[in-house]
Amino acid sequence: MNDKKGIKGFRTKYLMMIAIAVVILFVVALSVKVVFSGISKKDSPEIITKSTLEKIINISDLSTFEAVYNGIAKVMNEKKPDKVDYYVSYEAKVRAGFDVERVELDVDNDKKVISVTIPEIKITGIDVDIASLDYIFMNDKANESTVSEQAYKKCIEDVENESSSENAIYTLAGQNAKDVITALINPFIEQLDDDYELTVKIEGADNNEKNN
Amino acid sequence: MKKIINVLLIMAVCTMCVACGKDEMQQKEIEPGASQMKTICELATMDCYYHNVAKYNKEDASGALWWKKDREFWIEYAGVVTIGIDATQVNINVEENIVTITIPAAEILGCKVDASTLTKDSFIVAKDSADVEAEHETEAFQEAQAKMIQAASEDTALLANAQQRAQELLEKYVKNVGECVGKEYQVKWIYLEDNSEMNDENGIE
Repeated sequence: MNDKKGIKGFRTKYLMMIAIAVVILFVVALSVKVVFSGISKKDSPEIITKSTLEKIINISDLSTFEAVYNGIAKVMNEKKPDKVDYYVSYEAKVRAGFDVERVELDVDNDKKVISVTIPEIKITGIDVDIASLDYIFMNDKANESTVSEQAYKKCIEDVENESSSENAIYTLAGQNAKDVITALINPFIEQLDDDYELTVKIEGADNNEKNN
Repeated sequence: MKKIINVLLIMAVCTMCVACGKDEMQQKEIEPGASQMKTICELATMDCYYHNVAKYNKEDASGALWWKKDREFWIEYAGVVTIGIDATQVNINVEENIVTITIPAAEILGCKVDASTLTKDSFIVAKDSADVEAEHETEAFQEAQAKMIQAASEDTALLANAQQRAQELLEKYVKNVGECVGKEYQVKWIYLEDNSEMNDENGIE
């Protein structure tokens, strides 16, 4: 009788130990999971790191913006520099952009602020379509066979001078650059942690914008 | 005692269920979203500097018989043309690792002539032209805006550039989200204009 009681008691104790061990195991497993999920949630900033974002904004294709510059060049008489020989209209494309390699990016995970500084916008290329030249001659003698060669050079000079001094080209290219950077970063961080704030500015420009 | 053991085991099973359930919920949170796509399309809209020459040429504009004269002059002006994708027509469907994006063609969304660029120097009048008076300049100025829209609409390279820009930004977003959740998304484009569908595995075509 005592033996049976002893065996039953031993089995109960054994089962209880197993049950407690199972519970402890699950509690430990749960704790580990909670801790890790806490870290990974808290660490959504870990995805929002400088290197990740640098990879995201590495978009050389999207760093150039095209402006249409269909203009008129005035060509003066070589012997009488105050007299106009002819006006020539041309169609040109002006490319403005920034160097992707020089984009500066900072991530402040404590303040949850991402700052991007785009380098100065520069004119990167000019194409004048020689087939587009059209003339108004003020001096009929200027209408010679060599006129297109001279006119083409004058058109290139004109578009170079005009576009480099045209603030609107830089301003619009700068705004487009900001929009591209914002489009690349904002929707992405919005889904990971919408507390983050993105600030994009152009090097040398005073105005900066908060984009989130 | 058995009751205590049963309770402990039930607790363990419940703990396990709760732990597994939470994980699935978290994974569903990040996938390419329609609202983000629309935001990207809005930001992909390009404001293009547009410097243009409007040419005015009217034959026999003044005089009579042998004294007839044409009226010919050019106007140089500048403005801004806004080109982009209509974000309201963009749609997204995510099925496993295939992201189907429905996208319309890029179009001219706006056009504005900068009146300050129209000065006396903007008008170039041909040597033997009939007189150009204020009314002709006003007429030409009104035509300038319409011509600018027309010129931009016919500039296929500019439109293609805007289309490509929007698609590249959208694709980059999808790929970034994929990398974040360990998925390799494949982007499939449906173009609203001609209803053609094409697979895009390596980028924009």
